[in-house]
Amino acid sequence: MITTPHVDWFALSPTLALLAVAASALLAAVLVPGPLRKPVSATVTFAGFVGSFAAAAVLYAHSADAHGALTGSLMRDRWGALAQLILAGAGALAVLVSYGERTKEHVSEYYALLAAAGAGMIFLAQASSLLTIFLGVEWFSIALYILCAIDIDRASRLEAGLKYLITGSFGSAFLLFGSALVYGATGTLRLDLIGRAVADRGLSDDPLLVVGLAMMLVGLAFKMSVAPFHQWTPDVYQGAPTPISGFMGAATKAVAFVLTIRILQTAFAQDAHLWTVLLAVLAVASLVIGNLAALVQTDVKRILAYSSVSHAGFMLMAVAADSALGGRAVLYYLIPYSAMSIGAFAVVAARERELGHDVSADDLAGYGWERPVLGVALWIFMLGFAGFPLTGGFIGKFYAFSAAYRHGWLWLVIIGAAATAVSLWYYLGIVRQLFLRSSAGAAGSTGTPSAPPRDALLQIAVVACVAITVASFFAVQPLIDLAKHAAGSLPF
Amino acid sequence: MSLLAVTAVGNVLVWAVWVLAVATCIGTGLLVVTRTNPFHSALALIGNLGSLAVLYLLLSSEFVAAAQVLVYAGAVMVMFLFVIAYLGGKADAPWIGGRTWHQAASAVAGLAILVNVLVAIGMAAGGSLKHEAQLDQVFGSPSEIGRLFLTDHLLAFEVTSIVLLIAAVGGVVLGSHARRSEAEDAAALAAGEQV
Repeated sequence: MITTPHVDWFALSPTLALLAVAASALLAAVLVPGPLRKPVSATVTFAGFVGSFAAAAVLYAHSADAHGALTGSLMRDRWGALAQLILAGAGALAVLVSYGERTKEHVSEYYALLAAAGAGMIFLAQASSLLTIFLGVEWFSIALYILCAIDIDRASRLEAGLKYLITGSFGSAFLLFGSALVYGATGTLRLDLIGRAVADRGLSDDPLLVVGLAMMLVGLAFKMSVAPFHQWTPDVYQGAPTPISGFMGAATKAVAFVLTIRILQTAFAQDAHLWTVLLAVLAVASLVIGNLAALVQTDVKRILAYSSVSHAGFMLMAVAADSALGGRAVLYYLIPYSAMSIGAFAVVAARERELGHDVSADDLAGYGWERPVLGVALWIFMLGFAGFPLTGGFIGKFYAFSAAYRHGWLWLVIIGAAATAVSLWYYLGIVRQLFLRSSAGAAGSTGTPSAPPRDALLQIAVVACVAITVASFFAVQPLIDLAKHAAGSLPF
Repeated sequence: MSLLAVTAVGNVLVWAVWVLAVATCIGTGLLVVTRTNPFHSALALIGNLGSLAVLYLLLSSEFVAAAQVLVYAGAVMVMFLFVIAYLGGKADAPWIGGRTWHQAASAVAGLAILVNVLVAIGMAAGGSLKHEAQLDQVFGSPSEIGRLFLTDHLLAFEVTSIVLLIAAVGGVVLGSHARRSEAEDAAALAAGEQV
């Protein structure tokens, strides 16, 4: 007689809400008549992300004491719940941004896959066994591969999807191989038991474990798009549908960082002397490569992609600090960063729809005067990315720097400050295009006399992103408290 | 017949099966790389994977043997055959077009595996692989794996089905689109359809 384990449905509720929505959206593709398909599936998906957000909020409130659920496959704690809040919020915004984009083909399927990707990430935020971690990574990755290539008739989409599939599978293979080695060294799949086995049996210098840890970190670095594992990022962000690029930039990065910290702090705390140094090196590489490569880009989506690599470097500084302060810093950083990422890509999407082709920096000339709301919003996002005060980006960077400083790595802080200075060039370059250049000269043939009507939902999403970016500066204390309680549930 | 004789017959049988499986394994392996028709290579690969499954059975890992047949010899090979059928005559044999770095890489990989096997045999002969692993009798048996799927790894087991379902949906989405030519695509773009 097999007694199946107790299922904590409440802990699973944020994931289940989105899974239900994914199934409903798929059914809508078949049952709902053509013209209604888009509003129905978009509304349902939006409701799913909002429901998931609400469930995660309740879960946060009721998970003060962290404990395993479903025989340790999941961890029910505030760390996961706060990450789920960020992910669900990013998904809801992505739905709003997407609404104006799709017209005919695969409308419901698009939303179903978006919900499925969100569900996978939200599941992964809680995953705490090597098995569920790998499955969660594949879950959201497969959905994203398809979303990138969903307009398969367009060569750029197909290229993005294929590149993402191949490099993503490469990263997953590293993760899987590393997990197998770690299992071989410790004999368990659960992160907490791995940590205990390493501590009790003195395995921290076991070659099998160390190689396994290194390979897992490589696999995760692909998902975090940390240099030198970032090569797919610009191509995929450029080729994918723009709302999906924004969603990937925000949510994939968020879940990869949250997961990495969970793995490192729970299972590999004994190996901190190894991975802190490794992550610091990767952080420097990301800061240098991301910022220098962004300088020479002309396509706005590529600039944003390299900027996301450099932001991975900033967040990695905080992870490498190996402290509760660092964990708090990453969680806080992710809130304004996700909003800015989705918002910036949304503005690019709006411009792209007006032009009918990819947006280069020159295409933004004078856009701030044509569309003041979007222009000012993009201005604020650029300042936020660069880390100006009055945006959450400032406090995020400040926290990341102070975590590295507290760890005694002044040199890392100096490199981070230098990288910020370099990044001003391209962030302010976009702002210059928006407001200080006239559209007549540069735009010419690409002017927008017959511009489509304003996309109200996209504008709402952009305004919401601005609100989050700015509010996270002023409401810093409540957010830091949230992040503090969340970080408290990991054994820093 | 005495028990001893039965054991002896059993041993002979094991050896016979082993020799047969190994011969099939090597023979079909050679066929995979020497056939010029990719379809024949794929069929030979099925034989190769099947004989590997027999070897796993001889090592008393029933679950791995079954998975080998179901997943590799079954599902993966069907996909191989589909791809070959889809590409038709368009795929060249890999050695057409002179030496490439692929060949050098395969040679290095093959050599590495050979060294790996030789070292393992040498270590076993030298007695340095004699640690007895602390494993239960049931470790790796199909019933134990089934029990784990329904207890410790219940969630992972269920989630696997979701991952496969999403992949299947994706396959359908990417496969079932109305094909348009480049020109039509450009015209649609110009007409602002993407907008």
